[in-house]
Amino acid sequence: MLAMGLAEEDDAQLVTAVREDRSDAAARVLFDRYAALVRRILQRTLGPAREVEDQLQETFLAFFRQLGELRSDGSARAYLVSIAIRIARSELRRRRLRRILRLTPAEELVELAGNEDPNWEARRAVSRLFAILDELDTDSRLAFALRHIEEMELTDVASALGISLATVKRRLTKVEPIVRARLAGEL
Amino acid sequence: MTNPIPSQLLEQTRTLTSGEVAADVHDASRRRLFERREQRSRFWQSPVFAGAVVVVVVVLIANASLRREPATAERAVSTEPVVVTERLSDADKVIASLRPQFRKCYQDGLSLDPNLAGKVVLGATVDPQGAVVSASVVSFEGLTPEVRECLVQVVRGAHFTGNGHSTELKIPVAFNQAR
Repeated sequence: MLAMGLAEEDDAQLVTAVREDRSDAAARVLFDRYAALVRRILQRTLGPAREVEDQLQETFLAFFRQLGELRSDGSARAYLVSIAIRIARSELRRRRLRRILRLTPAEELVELAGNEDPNWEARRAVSRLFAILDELDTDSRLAFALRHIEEMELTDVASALGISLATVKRRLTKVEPIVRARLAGEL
Repeated sequence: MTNPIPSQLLEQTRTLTSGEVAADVHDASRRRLFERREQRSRFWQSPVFAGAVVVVVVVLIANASLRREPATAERAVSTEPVVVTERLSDADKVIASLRPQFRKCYQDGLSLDPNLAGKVVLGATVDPQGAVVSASVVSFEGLTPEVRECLVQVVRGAHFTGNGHSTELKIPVAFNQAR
């Protein structure tokens, strides 16, 4: 496949090109097309830290490596999202372990630039929200972030996390009052 | 959708987690990605990797030949107490008798994914004569759709001693990789 015009190819054609001839050009187009989406999923599940670039690359490396497992070439977007969530889950568990072992203090997830930053108050508020999410168990946190920050439908959250709709609802019902109360300073 | 996050904070959160970055950050990330891809590709083709594969294969073969008891799904299947709305005298006994079939479903799943694990709650409606008139998945974590459907089919084929009433059952089943 010629590189020229690749940007106009649909996902299925790009996936076939990457799978069959390990085309870097097609892989670059897929990265350009979905990097913002994957970065957004990672930021909304992990918090807006700079280190999501590492997880972003890990997601695409896994995606290119596992293209053979993709059932339908046109489902690249959903497959990328599911890999990103898997990478986010691993990262959250690593962070939790580091906190338990006290290898690092609780992460300051948003870089606070200081009072002169016009977004300072917003950054501080978002940082506090993610500090509250840090206290939830990993699976509840992911369900909460995908539902309320990413605004996924409940069925999409269930599909992305590989759990049933009933389990998603049960987890959200359990953690939503906790987050609400913590934000209101009641807990 | 009622959101437990105040709307202003929600907007700030979405703005700060939009996934959009400056073009130079995106380009640097893409460059690094393809460098890492190239490095990994070279590693897979290197003699060091080929040697490591040979060592691992030899160790696995030796381990398998020494293992007296093969790993099976038998010990990996657990069924918790069955929840019933009306008394069914033989509910636990019948469910226990389904374990080999549950195990078969799991083993079929394991053949496609060696790391497969998870749990499921199966629901069933039993008529007054003891026949299962419907079965479905109530909730689950992990497992593939094929395994879940297989488990439902097993429950549909079960038969209990009727108690003269329509009875609802909930059957929790867990699968893990314990050896």
